[in-house]
Amino acid sequence: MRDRFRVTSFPATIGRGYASDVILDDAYVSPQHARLVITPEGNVVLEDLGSTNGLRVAGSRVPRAALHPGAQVRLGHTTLRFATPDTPVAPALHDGLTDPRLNTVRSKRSAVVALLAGLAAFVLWSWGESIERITAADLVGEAIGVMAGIAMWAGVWALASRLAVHRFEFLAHVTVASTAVAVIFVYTELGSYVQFLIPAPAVAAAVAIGGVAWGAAWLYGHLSFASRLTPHRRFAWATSITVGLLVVGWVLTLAEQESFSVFTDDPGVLKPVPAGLVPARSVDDYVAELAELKAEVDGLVD
Amino acid sequence: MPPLPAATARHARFPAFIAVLALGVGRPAPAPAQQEFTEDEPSLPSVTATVFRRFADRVVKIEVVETGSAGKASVGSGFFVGPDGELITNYHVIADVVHEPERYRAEAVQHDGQRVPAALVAVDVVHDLALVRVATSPPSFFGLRETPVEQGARLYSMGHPADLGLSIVEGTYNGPLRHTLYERIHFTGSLNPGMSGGPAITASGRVVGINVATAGNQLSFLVPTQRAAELLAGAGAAEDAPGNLIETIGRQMRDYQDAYLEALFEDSVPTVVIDGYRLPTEPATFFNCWADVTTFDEDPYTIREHHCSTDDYLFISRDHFSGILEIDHELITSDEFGRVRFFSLYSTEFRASHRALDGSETDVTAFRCRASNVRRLNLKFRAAFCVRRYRRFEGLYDVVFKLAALGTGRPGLVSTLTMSGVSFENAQRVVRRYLESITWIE
Repeated sequence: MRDRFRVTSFPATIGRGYASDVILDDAYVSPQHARLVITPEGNVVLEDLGSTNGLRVAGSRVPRAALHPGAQVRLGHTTLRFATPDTPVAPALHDGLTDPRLNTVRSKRSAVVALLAGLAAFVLWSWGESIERITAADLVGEAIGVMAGIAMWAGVWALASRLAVHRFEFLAHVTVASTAVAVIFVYTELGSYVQFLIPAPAVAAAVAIGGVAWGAAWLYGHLSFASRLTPHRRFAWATSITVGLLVVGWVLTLAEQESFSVFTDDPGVLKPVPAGLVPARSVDDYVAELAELKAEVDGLVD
Repeated sequence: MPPLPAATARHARFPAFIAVLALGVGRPAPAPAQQEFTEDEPSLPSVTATVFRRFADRVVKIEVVETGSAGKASVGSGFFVGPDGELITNYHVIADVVHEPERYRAEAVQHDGQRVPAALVAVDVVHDLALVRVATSPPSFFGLRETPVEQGARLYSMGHPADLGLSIVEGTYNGPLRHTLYERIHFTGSLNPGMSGGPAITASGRVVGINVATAGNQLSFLVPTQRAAELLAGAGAAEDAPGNLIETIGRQMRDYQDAYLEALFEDSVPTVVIDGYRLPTEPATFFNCWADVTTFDEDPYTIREHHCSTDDYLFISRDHFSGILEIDHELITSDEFGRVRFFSLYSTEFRASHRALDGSETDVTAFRCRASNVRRLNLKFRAAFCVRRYRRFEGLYDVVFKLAALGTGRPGLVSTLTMSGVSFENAQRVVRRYLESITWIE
């Protein structure tokens, strides 16, 4: 809907001309196009005043149209809809963007703190993973790379914000992205330790679901500054998109599992935990449990 | 695998004797001063030529023909061992006919050029032999009596190398291999593909072995004759159905792995101490062990590898080899890395898939694995057991068992035990013994 006109006295003229009661700025509307009248019976009628393009109701040209609430008539390239004063309207939307809680995230200070935390987490993780000789220069180079990556990612979101809510909110997006980077490296490392101590498929699945939750939270953070959605709806959108991606990913891995391979599964990551703290079962229990695998692999032969 | 030519040892003396005889009888000794070479000087009779002439009739070419195109898919050799057209050849020469009988058939081409269909009667997959039968009766045939031969004796191997026609190759008998899982005779001679299944004989026509494989450079192998004799004695008269042959192959493999795995790790296992770990090595004489450092001096860490394997394998079909056992120990130490980076290195080595057992989708299932933390005396391990099953044979599995020693303050140990073509119960037992044989002594 582009505009609404309130008509209080009848007859009222509609046209492009400045003398009209309702002025339509449409090149295909005649200067004096139509007239709204109330009949003696109390009905509202729209009459054609001899316009070039006429009145159209449901695609057909008519000289006059009786208007009931909700009726639509086309004049030129403008469609008019008739409504009475008692037509209900929806209450005002909450502007999620003006939530004062978001202001801490917008500040320069949070952006700097988050960025430093993200870089520190990444650099520490990268150093721990490296199995070649590395220098401080290598690490600084990697940090700069990550910073550039965060800046570009935040920049894309800032453009989206500009289009959607007319503000860049660049610092807020930097804070969100940096926090996500910091969290994911810390979470991945903790997850590795948990999976090392308890190498069960259920644990791996739980860690993966945690990762999904992180993804949804990250998306929620960006949506908070790129839309005017209420917290409730942001959460709904973030969760749906993340779960959607997850389902696609799951379907793809299922397809891959069905396919044949001569390779054995990943036996798992090893972590520097003192042996005394690692829960372990006896050789007897382990060897006995292997019988389950026999059933599983026998089942693959049809 | 290319078959090897066989030479008989015993008859090496015979030609020399003949040569001496021929020289003595045929020609007066020339006057030392005026020796001239004239064109009509007679050449010494060649023993090899005589051997060829006497026994060529008994050797055939075996072709595996693709029924659709009626073209030969592979070529090998065989030889007559009985009056009713019984032929001995290698199992791997006719394996395609066993596994895909609707697509392949076997034909024998005799020395006189006659081509006849060959029916499969019996197989011995462990010794890579097969008994086939043709409808014709051969003019003569080889016996399969055991022939005592001495080291260094001359043997002659006959067959069809590279489908170039019946050929004879001289070589030397160098005795049975001592440390193998599959019986072989070491023959020094140039055998080439196509000679598989042909006989390696003495000059008097006694079969010492059947050509089976070569490692190039005159390093070749034969199957001992006694095995062919056993196959012939135990076989029925009629052609066996392909389904029965498949079942027989499965049974032979199961029986064989039961036999050689029975003693494996049961008594005390020889051990070696590396970097503070006592580790199993050469569990049986048919293993061959090697060791080396696999990193460079300038690397920030050192990886020491100790590897034992059975050197030979069982041929099952074109894409499927079995019967391999391997033990691989990797010891990882580093003076430069702290704990965190050392364990990143350790993880990388542990998770690397060093060697995948080959196999096609029709031969084996995919692997199914289970990883656990296991404790044993003063050590804890991450143990990953992976198993897959043979699709066409009951009760046979491939197992890859990998472990890493856990805990800080000691070198990293990644140890892998690979067994192919074993029963599940044997695999479980051997894995348990393997785990129990690894200790930390420092």
